[in-house]
Amino acid sequence: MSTETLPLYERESLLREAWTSLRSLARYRDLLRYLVRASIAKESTGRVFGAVWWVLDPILLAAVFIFFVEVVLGGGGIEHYGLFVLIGVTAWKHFQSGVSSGIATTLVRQQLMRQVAFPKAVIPLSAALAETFHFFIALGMFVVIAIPFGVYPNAFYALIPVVVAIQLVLLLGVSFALSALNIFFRDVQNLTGYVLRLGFFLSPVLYPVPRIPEEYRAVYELNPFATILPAYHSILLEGRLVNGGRLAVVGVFSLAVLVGGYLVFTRLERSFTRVD
Amino acid sequence: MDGTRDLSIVVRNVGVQFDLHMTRQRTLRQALGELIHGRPRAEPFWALRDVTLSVETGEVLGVVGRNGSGKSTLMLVLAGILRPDTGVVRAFGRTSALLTLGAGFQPELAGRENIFLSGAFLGQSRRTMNELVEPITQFSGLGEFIDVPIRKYSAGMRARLGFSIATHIEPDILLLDEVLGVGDLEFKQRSRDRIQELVKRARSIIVVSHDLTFVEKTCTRCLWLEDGRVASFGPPDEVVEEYRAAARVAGAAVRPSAAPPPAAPVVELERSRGTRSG
Repeated sequence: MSTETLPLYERESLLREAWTSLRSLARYRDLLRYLVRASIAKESTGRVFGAVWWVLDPILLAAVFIFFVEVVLGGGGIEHYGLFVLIGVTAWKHFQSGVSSGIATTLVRQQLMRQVAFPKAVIPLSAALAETFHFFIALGMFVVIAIPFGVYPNAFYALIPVVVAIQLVLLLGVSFALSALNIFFRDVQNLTGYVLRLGFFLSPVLYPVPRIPEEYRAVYELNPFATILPAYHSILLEGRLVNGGRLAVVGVFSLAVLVGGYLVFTRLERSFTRVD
Repeated sequence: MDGTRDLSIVVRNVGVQFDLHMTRQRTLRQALGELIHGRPRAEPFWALRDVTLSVETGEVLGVVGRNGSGKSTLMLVLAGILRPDTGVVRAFGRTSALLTLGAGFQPELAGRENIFLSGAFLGQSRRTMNELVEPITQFSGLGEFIDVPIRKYSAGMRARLGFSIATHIEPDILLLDEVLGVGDLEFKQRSRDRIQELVKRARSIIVVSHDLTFVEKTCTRCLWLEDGRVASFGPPDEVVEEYRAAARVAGAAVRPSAAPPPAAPVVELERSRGTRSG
C-alpha cells in the first residue's frame, strides 16, 4: 500500500514550516529541473543567435563601458581593463538578472499557484539556477576570450565555483525575500530595479576598489560585491585570491541572508494564493 | 494507523476568511499610509465557516450548493492550494485535482516535454512519467504534434493534452470539477470513459456538481454548502431532497435566477464503492 499521510496545513512554527517546505522542495526536484530547462529554452528560441546572446550580451555591454571609460574619460589605468570590465559586468548580470527574473516569474506564476499545489520556492530558485547556468557559460567564454590578451587559465580557476556559489547563495536569499514581498507590493519590482542599477555603480565593476577614497572604504566594503568582484578579478586576471578571509565572511553573511530570505518567503507564501 | 485506515480525507472546523482588504494588491505608499493612519477595518468575509466532513476510502462525495456557496473554495483547500484560517485538513494519500486543465504548460516546450513538466508540477517522478508518456500521447490523439512546441497548438489540442495528462496520473483522492467536456464529440466520449475508469481506480472522489440526478445516482455521500457553511451532509438522496426543497423556496421568493442553472450531465459515472486499485 503506497499510502502516505499527508498533513495539509498543520499549524506549526515558522522554522518547522520552513523545514517541511525544504523537504517538499527536495521531492519536487524534477519540477525544478524542468523549470530551469524551460527557462533556458525560452531565452534561446525565436532568436537568430539563440544561446549566443548570453555571451554577446555582456560583451556588448562591456564594450560600451570600455569605450566610455577608455575613450571618453581618458582611460581606466588598469592592466587588461577590457577583461576587468567584462568580468564585473558578467558577474553583476548574474546577480541582477537572477534577482529580477526571480521577482518577475514569481509574479507571473501566481495564477498557476492558484491551480496546482507545489512548493512555490521552486519558481525563484529555478530562475536563479537558469541564470547561474548562463553565468558559467559566459565564464567559459571569458577564458577563451582572455587567451589572446595573454591571460591564461591558472590553478586558482578552481576557486571560481566557490565564489559563484557564495554569490548564488546571496542571490537566492535576496530573491526569495523580494519575490515574496512583490506579490503583496508590486512596487518592490520597480524599487529593486533602481537599487540594482545603483548597486552596479557602487560595486567595483568599472573601477578597482582602491579608487574609492580611504575614508569611505569601510562603508563601501559593506557591499558584499566589494569583496566578491575583486575575488573574480584577482583569480581570473592575476592568478591569486586577494581577499580569502573577507570572502569567507561574505560567505557566512550570504548564508544568513539566504536563511532570512527563505523564512520571509515561507511566512508569506501561504498567502500567495489569496492576493489578486 | 489502525483507526484511520479507512479514511481518506478529514476536514475539521475549516474556515477560510477573505479579509477583502488584506488580500488586495496594494502599493507601498498605500500600505505605509495605512500603517500611519490605521487601516480601515473591512468586514471579514468567510468563504468557508466551520466545515467538518470526512471521506472514507471508496466513497464518492458530491458537493452541491449555489454559485458562491464555497464549493470552489473547498476544492482549493482540499487540493492543498489554499490554506484555511481555521481548522485542520488531513489527506491520507496523494490528492490530485482536475480543476484546471493544462495548468503549467510552457508554450516554448514541445507537447512531450510538457507532459513531463505537468507531471512534475503534480509531484510525479520522472520514472512514473516515462511510463505514462506513451498512453498520454495516444489518448490525446495528437500524433506527431506531440513533438511540436505547444505555442503552435490550437486551443482544442491544448485542452486534449491537458485532459490526457490530468487523467493519466492516478491519485488516491481525486478532486473533480464538473466542467470536463473538452475537445470534439469523439474526444468527449472518450473523456467520459476515461473518467469512469479513473473513478473505478481512485480510492475516493470528491466531485462538485450542479447535476443533482448525477449526485443521487453516483455519489455515496453528499455535502450541501450554503454561504460557506455545511447546510447538510449525509446520504445523497436525503441531502439532495433538502437542497431541492430549499431551492424551491428560494426560487419562489426571488423569481428568475435564484436557483442554480440547470447543468447538462457531463459525466455519467458508475457507482464505484469498494473498488480499489493495488
